[in-house]
Amino acid sequence: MAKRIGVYVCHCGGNISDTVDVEKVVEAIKNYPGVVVAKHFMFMCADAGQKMIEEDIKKYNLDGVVVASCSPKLHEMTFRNCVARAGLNPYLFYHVNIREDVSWAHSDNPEEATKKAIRHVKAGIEYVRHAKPLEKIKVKTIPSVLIIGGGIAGIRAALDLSRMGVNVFLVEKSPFLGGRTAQIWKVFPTGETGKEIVRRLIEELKKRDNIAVYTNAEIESFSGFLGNFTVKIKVYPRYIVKKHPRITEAIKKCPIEVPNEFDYGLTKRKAIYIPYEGAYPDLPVIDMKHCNKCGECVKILGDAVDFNQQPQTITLNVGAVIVATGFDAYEPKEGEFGYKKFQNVITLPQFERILDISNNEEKIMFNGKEVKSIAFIYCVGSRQIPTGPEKVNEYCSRYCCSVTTHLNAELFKKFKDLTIYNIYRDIRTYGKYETYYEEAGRKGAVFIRYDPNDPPQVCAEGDKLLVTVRDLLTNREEIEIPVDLVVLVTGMVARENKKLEDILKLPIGRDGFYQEIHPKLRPVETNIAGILIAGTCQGPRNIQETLASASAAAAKAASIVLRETIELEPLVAFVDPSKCNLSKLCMKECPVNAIQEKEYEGLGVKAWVNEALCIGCGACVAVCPTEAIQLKTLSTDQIRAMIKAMAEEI
Amino acid sequence: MNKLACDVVVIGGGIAGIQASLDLANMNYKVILLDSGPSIGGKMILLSKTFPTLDCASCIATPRMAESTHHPNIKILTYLQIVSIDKHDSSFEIKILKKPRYVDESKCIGCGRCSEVCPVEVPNEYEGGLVPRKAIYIPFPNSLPNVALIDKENCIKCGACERVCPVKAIDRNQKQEEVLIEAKAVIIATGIDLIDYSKKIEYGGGKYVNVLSSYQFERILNATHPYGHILRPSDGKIPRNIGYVLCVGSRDLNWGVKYCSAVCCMYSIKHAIMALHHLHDAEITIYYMDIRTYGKGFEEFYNRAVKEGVKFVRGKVAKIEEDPETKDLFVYLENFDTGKVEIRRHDLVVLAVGIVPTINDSALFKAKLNVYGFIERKLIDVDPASTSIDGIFVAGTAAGPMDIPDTITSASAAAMKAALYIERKG
Repeated sequence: MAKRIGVYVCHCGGNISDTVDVEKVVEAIKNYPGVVVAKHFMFMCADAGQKMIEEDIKKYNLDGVVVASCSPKLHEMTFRNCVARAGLNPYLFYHVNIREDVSWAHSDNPEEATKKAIRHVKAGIEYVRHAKPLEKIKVKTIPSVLIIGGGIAGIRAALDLSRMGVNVFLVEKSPFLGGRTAQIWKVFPTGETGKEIVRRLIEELKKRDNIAVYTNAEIESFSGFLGNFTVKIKVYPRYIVKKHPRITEAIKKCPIEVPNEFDYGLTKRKAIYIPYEGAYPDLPVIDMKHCNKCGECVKILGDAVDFNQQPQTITLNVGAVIVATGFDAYEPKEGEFGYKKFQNVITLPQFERILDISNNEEKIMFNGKEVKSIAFIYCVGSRQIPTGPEKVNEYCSRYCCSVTTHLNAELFKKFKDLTIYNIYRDIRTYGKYETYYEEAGRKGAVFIRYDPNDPPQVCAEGDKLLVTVRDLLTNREEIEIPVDLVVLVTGMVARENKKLEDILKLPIGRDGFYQEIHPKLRPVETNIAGILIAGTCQGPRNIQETLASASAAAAKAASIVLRETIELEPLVAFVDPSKCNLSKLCMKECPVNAIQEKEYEGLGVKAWVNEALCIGCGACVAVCPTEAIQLKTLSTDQIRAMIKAMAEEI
Repeated sequence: MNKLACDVVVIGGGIAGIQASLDLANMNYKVILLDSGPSIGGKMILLSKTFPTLDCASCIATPRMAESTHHPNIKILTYLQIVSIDKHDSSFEIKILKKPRYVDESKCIGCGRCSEVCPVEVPNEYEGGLVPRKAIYIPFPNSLPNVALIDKENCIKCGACERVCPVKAIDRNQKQEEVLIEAKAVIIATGIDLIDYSKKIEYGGGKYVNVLSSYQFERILNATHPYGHILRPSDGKIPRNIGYVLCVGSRDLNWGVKYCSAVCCMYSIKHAIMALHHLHDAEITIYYMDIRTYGKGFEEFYNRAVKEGVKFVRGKVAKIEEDPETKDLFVYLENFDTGKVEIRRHDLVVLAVGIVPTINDSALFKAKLNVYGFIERKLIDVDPASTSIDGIFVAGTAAGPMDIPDTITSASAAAMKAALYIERKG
């Protein structure tokens, strides 16, 4: 217990002393137990004030300091540094706020304000009497980062980190990188193909020698803490073990055809396949679910095929993790706007594939017929209105309006006599994307606004489709629109990824997407220190926004791993194992899973706090039945002593 | 001339500039953060609450401001003008002119006594001109640096401030000071301003006293509100029937800008919800073209407003007229839901004014601007922080309208790119 405490009361140039009688405060506490010196001064934060404290620490051999001045937000660090300069442990200092909390709040009642100041200062003295010297927690970091997901977000983050000299492990579940961007026909604002964007990123990736790419791989287990995680990944066999000049021929020879998921089943692929030209890695994969091991490919490729390849488990040590697992496209229910009921009702991602596959054609062909008129129905799977207890996608998918209006303009550019109807709720072309909306309208696209409570109906009429809708722009007039193709503008939904979520304990928001720790100011961090999120796994967004969030996550990861050690404030909980009865209530309450069981010598298994994980929130302290778990910077004894001092008669 | 050197100069001390500086500083780069105004904090620190969580803006922005002020790798310079930015082979030279505050920054303790005694009152620009400030003033609560400055144009040199200043910080002889900064990279985070809504004569903004800009209403709703309550300016009455006009200046080919300002729908809904919480039985009507609640949690926020009783009317407001006696307002609109022209009476009308870039001098900033005056992003499809000049990066709304999370994300991305640019050169 501190026995030689110095107390310093600041006038703040009248801000405090005009209301609070600082001399009286000093008088009231100078004989308080433990206090050896008490002073007041015009500006404690000024050089002269700080020097006085430093000199006193040495002169009186102080083992505790209390400064009563402004808000600790302003000068707590100033005084901590000040006492540290004089050789005192900075955690043996307490900052009492008698300006914002006292003089400014009670300028109408100086007498009571002075009493309140005295109470607060006494509490501060009690804090210091019970304080213990603390050291910052030092965590060694491993200069490597794991990135989960090989879409453009994952690749972008990998490139950024790699160029900063950080080792990157890029793990992708599917056999190829590139994610969903590669499926897009034309990307705004440049009008490039999605594949082109992926290709440019991959070209850069190939030049990097500090990025290890694992495709066909999944996370198996995860442990550790900020700066030092251990991750086990399982790499599934590709069955093609090396390159071979006759790959194309071998693929052709494969007798098995299955729907190509890259084209949403619009085309077929073989059991040995590369989903599209230019896919990376440029090594095919054998889909063992469908392969019948007929050996045709082996005849051509020889030992480049290895049917006996086994899954491999690899252990990685990393300092931070970026999750960039992307989204799933909303799959409409059967019959939703005629989906799966009528062949020529398709989704936007499917339409992108049709346009991409037939990029060299002069007409849009679907099922052997030319498409001359298209109706886009917006907000399919987004902005759903709850009708019962069943969970719906209440959110807006953000990217679809810009994409579709941009697509309108691109379609008009390429196909001259096309008629396009946009059947929408609100057009949400925020920011500069508004120009796509304007351009689509100028080029002749028709916009019809529907009421979500009275949505458009799609039925067949001959070989065409008939869309019936009440147009809110013309006072709910019912219009019938015959079209060749209905494209459902489907939104983004959170990806099914339970295994990964359970392993990493990822926080999930109400909308099913991963939850950032603070929606405004910390959009790429999660409540697990060292785990970052990038791209659409956090919520719907477009390509530019995805890339920005990937670079942002890379910046956060870099600032963790580029330092050899991270210093954390010791504002953490700790367990007195002799008091712990292992009720485990603390473990249940801890929001960051920082409390684990540990064997203590001679005491058996008790609770233990991982300091690197603990955020010092104190939730565990409140539930512990035996007061075994305490905050280092604010113990229950301290709180009791402070309350008692405050409540004392003056 | 004073000379300084650092790794990155960040121009603009709003939340984008602060975030970019913090990220760079945490990656161990030395940053100089510049702000033309007397305090950092930008637009965000002046907001009441933030959508869609209704977090108090200063509660979340102030710690960031403080963090940047205390960070050993960040040096902050305020109240200045950029004179030139020159690129040499491997570095940039940024010349700035520090304007005199007439108050010694190193002495002032921000106690505000000088303002108390100053006899001059002028409209307070930080409060949207709704209430006055003094000729010597601290811009707003939570200003950083928390020091006063004298507005020389309006100061009458009475000497009252000098007499009360407890630290003798007033310095009338302060001169402007040129500073030359050498840096390896530059981030532009100059943010946005409001469109001059008085140009829309039909709406009477700036003419009718009860037609407020959304920024003025933001201040009225603020915890440090100028009126202490939600009141209308003409007679101090509590408004019972508020009309809210969206897309003022935005999406307007006639007098405003072509683009959508991206934030007005959400801040208007936020205002409506906050006003309802204060005024309970008030009627609040939002006139809109499209409701663009596109971000995470935004649609849910919109649905919440509908449930709490905010009225949404789809229709473009043609004009607003004032009742000269009561100062109530008549809003003329075509209601798309009924197809009829309507005239509605409100005792207060708020204009959701759109945003324009603060930067208007591409010759000074070197980086190319797009047709709307925002910084053009050269490699938008692979690198959204890039500009037309290698080594100059863009963060936040300087690149286009965006909300706070997107601003933060883009600022962190710009920090990453600036760091990479420096590393590449070795």
